[in-house]
Amino acid sequence: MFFCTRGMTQIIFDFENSLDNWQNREASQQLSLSKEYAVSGSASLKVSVNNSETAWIAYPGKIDFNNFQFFKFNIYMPDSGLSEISLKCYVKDNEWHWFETGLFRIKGGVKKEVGIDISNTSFAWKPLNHLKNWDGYAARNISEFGIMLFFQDKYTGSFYVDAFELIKARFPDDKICLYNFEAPQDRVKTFEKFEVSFKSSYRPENPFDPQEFRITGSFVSPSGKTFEVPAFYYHKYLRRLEDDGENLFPYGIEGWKIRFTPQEMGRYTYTIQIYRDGNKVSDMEGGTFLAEMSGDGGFVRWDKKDPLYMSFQNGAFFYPIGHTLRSPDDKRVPYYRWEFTPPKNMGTFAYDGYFKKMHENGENYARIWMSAWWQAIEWNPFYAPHYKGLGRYSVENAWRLDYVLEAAARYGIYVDLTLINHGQFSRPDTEWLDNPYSIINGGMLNTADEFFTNQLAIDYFKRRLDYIVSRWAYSKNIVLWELWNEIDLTINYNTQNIKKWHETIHPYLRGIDPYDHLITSHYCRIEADPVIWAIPQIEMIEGNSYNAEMVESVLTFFTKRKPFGKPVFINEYGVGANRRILENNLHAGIWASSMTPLTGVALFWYWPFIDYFDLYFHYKALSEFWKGEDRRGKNYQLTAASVESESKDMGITGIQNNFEGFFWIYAGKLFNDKRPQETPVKRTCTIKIGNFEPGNYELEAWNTYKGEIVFKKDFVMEGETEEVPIPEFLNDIALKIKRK
Amino acid sequence: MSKIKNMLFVYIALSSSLLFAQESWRYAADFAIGESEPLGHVNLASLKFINPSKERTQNLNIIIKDTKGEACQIKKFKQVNNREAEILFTPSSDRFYTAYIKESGTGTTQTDENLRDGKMLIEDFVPVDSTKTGQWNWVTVPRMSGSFSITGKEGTSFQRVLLPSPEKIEKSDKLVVYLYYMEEKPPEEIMVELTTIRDKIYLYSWGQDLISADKGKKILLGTLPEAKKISMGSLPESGRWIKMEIPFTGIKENMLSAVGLYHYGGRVWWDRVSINEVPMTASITTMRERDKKVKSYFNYSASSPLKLDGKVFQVLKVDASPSSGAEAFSFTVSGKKYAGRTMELLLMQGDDRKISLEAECQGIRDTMEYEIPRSRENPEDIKMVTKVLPYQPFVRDREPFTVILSVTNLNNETVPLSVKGRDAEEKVYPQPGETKHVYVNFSNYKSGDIMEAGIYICGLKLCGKTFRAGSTETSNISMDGPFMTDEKGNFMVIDFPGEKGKKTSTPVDSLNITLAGSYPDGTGEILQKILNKEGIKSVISETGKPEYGYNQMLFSEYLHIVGKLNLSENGDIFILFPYTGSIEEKTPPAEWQKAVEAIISAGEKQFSKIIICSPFPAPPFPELYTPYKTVTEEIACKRSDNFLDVYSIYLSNPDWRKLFIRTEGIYKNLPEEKGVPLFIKELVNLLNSIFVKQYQNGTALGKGK
Repeated sequence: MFFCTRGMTQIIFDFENSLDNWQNREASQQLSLSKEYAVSGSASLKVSVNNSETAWIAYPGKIDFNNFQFFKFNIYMPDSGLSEISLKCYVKDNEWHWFETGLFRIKGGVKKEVGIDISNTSFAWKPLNHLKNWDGYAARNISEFGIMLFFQDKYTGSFYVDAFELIKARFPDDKICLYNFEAPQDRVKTFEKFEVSFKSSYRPENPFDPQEFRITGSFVSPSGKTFEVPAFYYHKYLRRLEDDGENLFPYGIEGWKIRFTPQEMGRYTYTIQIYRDGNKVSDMEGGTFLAEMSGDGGFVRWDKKDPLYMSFQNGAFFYPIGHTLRSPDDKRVPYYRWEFTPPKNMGTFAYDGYFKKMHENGENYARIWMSAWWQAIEWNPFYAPHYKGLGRYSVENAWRLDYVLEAAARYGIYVDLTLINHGQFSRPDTEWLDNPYSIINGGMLNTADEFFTNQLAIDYFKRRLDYIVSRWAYSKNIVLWELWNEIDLTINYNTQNIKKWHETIHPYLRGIDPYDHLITSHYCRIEADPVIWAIPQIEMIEGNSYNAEMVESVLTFFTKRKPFGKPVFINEYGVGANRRILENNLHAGIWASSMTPLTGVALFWYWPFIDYFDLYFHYKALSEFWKGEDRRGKNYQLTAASVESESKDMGITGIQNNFEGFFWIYAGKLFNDKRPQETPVKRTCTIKIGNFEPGNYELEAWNTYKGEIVFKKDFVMEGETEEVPIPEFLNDIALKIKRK
Repeated sequence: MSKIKNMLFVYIALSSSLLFAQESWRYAADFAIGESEPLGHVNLASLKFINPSKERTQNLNIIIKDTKGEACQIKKFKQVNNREAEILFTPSSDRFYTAYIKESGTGTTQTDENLRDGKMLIEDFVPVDSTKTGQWNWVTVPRMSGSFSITGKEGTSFQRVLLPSPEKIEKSDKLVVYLYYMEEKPPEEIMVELTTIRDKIYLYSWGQDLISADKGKKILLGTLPEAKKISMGSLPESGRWIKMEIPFTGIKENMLSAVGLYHYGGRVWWDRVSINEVPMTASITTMRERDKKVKSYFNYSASSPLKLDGKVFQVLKVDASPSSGAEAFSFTVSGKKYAGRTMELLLMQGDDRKISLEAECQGIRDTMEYEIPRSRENPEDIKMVTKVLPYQPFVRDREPFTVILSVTNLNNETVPLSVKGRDAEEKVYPQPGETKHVYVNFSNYKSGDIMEAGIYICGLKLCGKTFRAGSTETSNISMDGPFMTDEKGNFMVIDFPGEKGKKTSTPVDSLNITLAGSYPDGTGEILQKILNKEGIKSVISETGKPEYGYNQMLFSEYLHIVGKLNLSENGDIFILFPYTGSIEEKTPPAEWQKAVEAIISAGEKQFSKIIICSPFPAPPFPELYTPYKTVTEEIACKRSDNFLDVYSIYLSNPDWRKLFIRTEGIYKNLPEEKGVPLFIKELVNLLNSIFVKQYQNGTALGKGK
């Protein structure tokens, strides 16, 4: 592209020495430089048309129209015998959305200057087959400009174009203001989202770079606490379920939003600050709103009195019961002859269904990844056009996450949000080759492990956290910022580097998050990595427990981590050689983990399996059993109870203190065997319980598939142990024993 | 003309006869290598043909000569069946050739019977369901074959494709890839990655050893697991397409699962990546037979077996163009006759596969028969995705409207499709993975009509998108993202009258006023107070705000207001302030105009008087609202409705911006409280003027106590 600035105008294509990268888009025409009909300088671009009804030329390069008002060029068709010819111009933005002008008329033998309004307020550019409208960001990110001519009949001859000029806006963006300002609520409930929407008169080159341009909202609570919340760049999307799954349609024009969640009752006031190039250029009164009492518990915290568990800000106990919902679907299959293919590309529509069924079945927790194939925001544009590379974020995926979190709030689902999955920085899942941090994609990292040590990479990741916090920290439905999934699977894993990274990133995230969400990272391998488990930046020890001997696996998982005195959580499990065995593994996982002093119920991996076979009832039964049970301050320990039965495979696991206990009695052949049996079994047994204070106790036995009490029994605890016969049951049974 | 034609025919027949007599060949088949084939680059070409003779194919003696008469080496003669064969030969620089066919019984001489079959991996597209990694820019220039080559960015880049299912390979196979780079921007290293089924990686490198996992070097692929890197020598020549061959002799595994193309520095274009050389394809252009004036002959192509709703079929394309001396053609397939030179049809699983072509000229007829061989491949579901692109659903007086369908072919071969609208049919041939946009026009419809845009493959319907012509009175319309649809999922088209309806005023005791759209809070109450003060008895109702949800705002606004109007009793005055939602999003004014006009036309059916207001001119860019102001004015003028130019009322106030300021630097869409009276005053004046007119018309008014 050629630049020549003359006062208010800038010539961008002059064709003095080259075609300036202009290209033919019709096979029947040729481009050449000509000394004829030059308007600027001594040469023009000649387009020779051969027996065609159309001509089409294009410049497939980037153009930034920022701060320019008009774009004009000259076109001349020497053939005066030609009747009227129509011309239109088009541009494609950086996601290949096509905008075009109306038709201009030109006549043979008459020189024509074509001028088009290119400002952000222009209506000259109409969207073609999409719903995105022309705005300042489209104007800043032109990836192709073209001209199309339409002759009335087939034509052979030439036309000339020259002197493509940009004309500067008379009033450049010196004084920044916010307009279309809408704060639709003047009263909200506590822990409800308060959202302000507006547009900015200033359009930064990179709206995701707070150093270049930043807008913040400062909210002062009724008690005088101040919260600084950054605004974020936003684009609206419409969604529709088509034959190939969810389709998102970018809609309208760009904007900004500030989201804030009030945690106190009373009147909040807020001001808005604008920073440009790091300097504050505006500090404006925003307004006020009233936060009214709600019944909502607020954000999830480590319980103050029993920090191995979670509770809401209002003190209510939160016991996570749920499963993984990594992304809408999953390619991986757990067993040979997998009976079904989950519907693909269901996008946010999948979560409507998942969350609804989870809610109806007593689940309250899910784990979701910001992976490249789902809700990542920073990734390589070659992967998908809505990605913009390093330091620029996908507003399309961000919209998806908005939707998912709103749906989660609607259905009372709390989310462990995984910010980075290991595949992005490891080869086995090949994602490293697409990673924008990789030098091959224009990033700064030669190898994936440098992500943990390269300062520039760390700075970019911090910037990504800024955006994440600005957009989603408002959500009380986010329980955890899970920095990493399976961090131990990243390439060249180095404990010291991982430690340092967490020591840098954790305090940064803690510092910018006004709502103090919980933070941790997740490991894959059972043994990895005690050094990291010990650091304070790992607030909860999370890992995987894929094992057919599910009960043993859960117990081993817990006992290895218990000495660290931290909350412990099984983030993934699920193995099985066929449908029935996998379902038994699912069943075993939730009951065994709930009968362990873990912070929540283990998360089963194969969510499409649960959904396809409608296995949510397992969770319904579990949640009924645990309804109203508050584990905090109870000092539950793993039980030493034992079981006696004619069937040698019977097992018992549970938690108890001296006054109450919860037990799961199970057929080991189904639930805790290297080669599990799949057919249901009937069992009877007697359990021997101990470590209870003497007294009168009540026993409730629960059907673990229906969530119903199958019998109740009172008994007196007199000695150190008591034997309690359990009538016949199928597969397994759960018990609650409480002193009366 | 026909005289010249006849003479030409006689000349050709004579010269052919002479040639045949001289050479003793019975048939001569002119054929051509395809236009998009990389002539001069690929040293192998293939001619598949139906044997014109009744002699068994393996007994034919065939030689191929180019236009200069030079014989070409026949590398391999592959018998498909008794009637069909494929000849692989070494082409010269010519595109055009003639095959001379003799029924000698000795067979055709081959020079390389062990020539391995080629399998294309990348050529204009990758196999459907492949996983692509890296920077895949498909460009037309430079390219070697087909329509595109692939390139990444300048500096370093790569393209890697994980195949949907691994390809079987043998040690005697090789990878063939063509590449190009410019002298002024040479890469420092070029590397090809082959990954086998066990995730074993083999790297083949030309130039310097820079792409590496080893520290201390210029590293690109830092996380490659241990991989064997083999130096293949220095960089190839620049400025022209170079063929690179990688023998599989060193690969232990027998399945290839991925191929990666890398370069460090410069810029590289890649094309036509295959396992073994894939020959250029040629097809017969003219088939002649000695002593015959008319020779009937056709080429055919048949798709892989496809499946739709349990029906299994192949798409068959036959072309009689290679017939010589004929003017009229008639095919008979499964007992049905079809006239024409070319045709596409479906061969269903149970169909008789015999095809007969009768070619005719001046009463001389010749017939060719051939039974299309059955495919041994398993049928696959036909995979097409058809979508309606966002369209303008409001039409005035049943004017014609256009919708655009996008049709994506997810099959591994090009599929011939017809898109049939009400008035016309268009044919498209999307390549694998390609999306075509098809415009479908609808006209001459009436309210209630269901119109279909159907996608067909040779007459078999794949799917249809239906559009229902409704009116502003149509109920049960809902929003579905960017569209309005009815309860059956039909896409809606809303027809509205272009001229004002004939609703007349009836005597009333009090004025029934409905306010709709975006206006400052409290407007209704203030207006009520003023009207009361002026002694006008009135009842003011408000339609409220639409729930936008995740739907198009303009349509949501339309459905909200029209839904309220259709549920309400008739009234006296309908005042519409345009909603700011669709304006803020810069809805194209022409589309916006029709939706607003549809709302107005709905209002006209129920209200005696309509007041259309222009939008408020929100600062600091009132020009963003100017087109909408113009549009509202045009609607009012055209439909003889009352117009309140709210936009100009404010702009005429020198301090108008201040009326919209929340605080300095923050502007709202609607005036703050202090700015509200400005437009209400004018609204009341307008209402009063309407009353005066009605007095003059002699109708009763709400002017009361």
